[in-house]
Amino acid sequence: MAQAEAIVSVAGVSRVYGRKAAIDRADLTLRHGRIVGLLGASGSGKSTLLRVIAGLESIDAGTIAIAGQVVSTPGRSVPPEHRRVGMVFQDFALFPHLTVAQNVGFGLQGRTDREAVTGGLLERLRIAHLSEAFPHTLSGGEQQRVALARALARDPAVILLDEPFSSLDGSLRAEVREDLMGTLRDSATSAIVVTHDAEDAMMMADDLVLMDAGRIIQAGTPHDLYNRPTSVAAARLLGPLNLVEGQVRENLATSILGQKPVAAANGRAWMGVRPTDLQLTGSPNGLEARVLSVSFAGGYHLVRVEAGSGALSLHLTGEAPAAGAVVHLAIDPDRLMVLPG
Amino acid sequence: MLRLLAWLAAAVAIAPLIGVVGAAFGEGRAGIAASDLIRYAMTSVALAVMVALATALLGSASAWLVVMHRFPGRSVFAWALALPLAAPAFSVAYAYADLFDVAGDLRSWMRLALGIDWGPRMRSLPGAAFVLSLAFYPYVYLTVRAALVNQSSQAIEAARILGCSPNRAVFRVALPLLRPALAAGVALAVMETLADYGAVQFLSVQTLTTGVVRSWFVYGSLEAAARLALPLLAAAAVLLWIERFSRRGRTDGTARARWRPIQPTPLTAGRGILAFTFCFTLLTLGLFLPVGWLFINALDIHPDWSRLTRAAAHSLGLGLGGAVATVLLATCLALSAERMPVTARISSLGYATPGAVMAIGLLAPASILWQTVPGAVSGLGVGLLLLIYAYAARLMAAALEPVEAGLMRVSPSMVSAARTLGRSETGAALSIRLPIASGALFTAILVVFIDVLKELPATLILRPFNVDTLAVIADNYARDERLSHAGWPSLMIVGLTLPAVIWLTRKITASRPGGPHGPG
Repeated sequence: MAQAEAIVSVAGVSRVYGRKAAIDRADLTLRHGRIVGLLGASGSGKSTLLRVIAGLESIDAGTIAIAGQVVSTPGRSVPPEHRRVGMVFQDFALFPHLTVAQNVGFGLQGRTDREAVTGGLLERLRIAHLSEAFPHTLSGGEQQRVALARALARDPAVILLDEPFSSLDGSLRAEVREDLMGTLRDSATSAIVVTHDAEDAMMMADDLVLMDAGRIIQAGTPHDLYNRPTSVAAARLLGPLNLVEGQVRENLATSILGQKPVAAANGRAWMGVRPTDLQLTGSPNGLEARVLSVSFAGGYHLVRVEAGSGALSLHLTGEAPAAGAVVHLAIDPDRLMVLPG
Repeated sequence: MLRLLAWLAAAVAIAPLIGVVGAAFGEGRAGIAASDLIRYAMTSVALAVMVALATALLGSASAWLVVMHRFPGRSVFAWALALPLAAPAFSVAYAYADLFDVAGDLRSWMRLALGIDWGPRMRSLPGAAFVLSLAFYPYVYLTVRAALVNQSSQAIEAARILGCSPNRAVFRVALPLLRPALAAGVALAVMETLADYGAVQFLSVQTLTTGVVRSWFVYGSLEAAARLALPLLAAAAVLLWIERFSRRGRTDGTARARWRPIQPTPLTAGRGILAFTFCFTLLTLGLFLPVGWLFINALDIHPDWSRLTRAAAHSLGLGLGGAVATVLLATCLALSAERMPVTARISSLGYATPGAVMAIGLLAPASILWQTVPGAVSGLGVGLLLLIYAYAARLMAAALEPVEAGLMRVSPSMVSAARTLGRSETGAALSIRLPIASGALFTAILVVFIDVLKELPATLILRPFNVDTLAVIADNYARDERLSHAGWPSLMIVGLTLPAVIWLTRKITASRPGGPHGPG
């Protein structure tokens, strides 16, 4: 199948503040109709990458192209108002002195179809009844819909979403995420979503890009990245991880967690397993461990055990052992990760 | 575009200050004697110290009573204690000088009815300090009050839980937190004291500012005036630094989401009466007594209404023109302040600079124009423009502060949103930043309007021939010792500024950290 055209191409982009590179030689491609998730910890540079794509900041190296037009090179930057981007901000950035309809129609100034486009978007996002309301009277979910409608109004080539759920909590967060996904999919909009939440990222994105300290450390599908991270940092970004030190000899990685064939040079390596991939077994051949603590976390028990000289965590959905008990752990070798030391 | 306008605004504010320094080092005649300079400077310092101590005491005590205690009249005093700002210091001076004059009504009545022939001598340094302290204590009151209100009760509660008694918690936690606000308020009061001309001139106290005006009017020496202005300029820079430094971190621990108001302590009946008496006396001495006395005396005469009406029109026109021009320039500066913080701060120097000094600074470039192009600066329109220029340069910082506070309500992401929605930087400023800050712009216009109506020395020096303001007429009458006549223009100034002061003080006192309507 032929690949869809690239809507956003980021090639070798760097952004430096003083002596610190907020973005360090980043490459990223967003194809038509896809959703790319940018996942990273605070300060990893993901929001800065979004802002340079939007044209809100300049770049010090590389190029950025949107819909085939080069919009950023060092020393030359098409201003944000002339790029075909829409953006949903972390705090939604709704204009408090304008009504919902005025906010949504803000970017359509001078267009004869302003009312029609605004009305259509308000209907589509089920906020038509709020058109005359002011932002401060809206709930968090409603504000988010207004922000999305406003960003979509100019029919942008790409929608950029900066931590769109961070100001929402609990069940509202999941509901709004479903809503947002539905809207983006229905309109076949290409989007880049910045988040620090692995669950949000994996549930929303077709393609995931992991950032750490300004650099893109891995890119791929959420499934691939979760199961086959190429570094400790990447593995940790996508969820909790048990990590123990191991050794690679003659293409076989070995640690207390078990053995796994690997194509790597001899030497030190990290071996990791997710807490969900550790199970209790009645077989004495399993890894012996002593239970340190058991905490009930709703859908599962978080069990901390001591094995060898380190501690491991397990998420157990069934019966949990008592603290102090000696247990044996079973580990599927396929779920073991071998990561560079 | 925005940056260019900001540079222009900064140039407007800084040019007169450069003019003063240039003139001071120029080749001038009628050089001032070093002994005069020292005498003027010593008097200014003594007056500033007295006013600083008195305003610190009066302003902080009244704020402390009103915020921390519950007593009869507290809610009214909360805003009314700032009302003396509506009365120009010179009008307070006229009233007290007349009230305690040896041949005045009060002293005559005391002699006849009580057999006492005693009264304070107002035409003296302590007399001037008394008058200026009553006129300027609201600066300290407002800043200390704001700091007290902004303190969350949680700091005091934490101190209580850590073992402090209520009084000890106040002394160990609340009071140290007030020091910056007190310093800022006193710095403002001292700035106004050094800048005052009308009151000290009338009370025969020779300060550097009266020296500046005298050098120009009596000796016609721009250079001598500029040399006297230099120490004032230096003092202005120091005071401005103190004021700004004290403001740093004023919001630390204040405008937080979990801010909870301090619960005032109810006072017993006796203490409540004492608190009421203190606040009422302060308000009476600062406003009711001087304004009332001027009013009673003014009733005895038939004023020249046509002259007063013309002067009121001039005052209003200059007030509005000055306010609009100043706020326009301050807004240009504020819109780029994030990227030009140093320029914005230097432009604020004018606020601490006495109007007389500002006028001298403008005379220097104007005199060059006079010499090179005769008649270039003599037209009425140009003269008025020069005067409005002086107001703008002098009051830029007073306008900049509320405008900056208003613009702070616009989050950077709102501006970014407007940019991604097709607006240029200027477009985002016009469609988002300024509409959201419109309330703050109005506040700034009122602040400048009040100050311009009370302004005297710059107006005296720069006004075009035959353009008298209410302040100028009051000064003219007072020089002729026709105090009853001086009362009318003074009262008209109070009448014009009082509604604006009431609106502002009520707005300021109603604001709460994190509330929907901040002080901006």
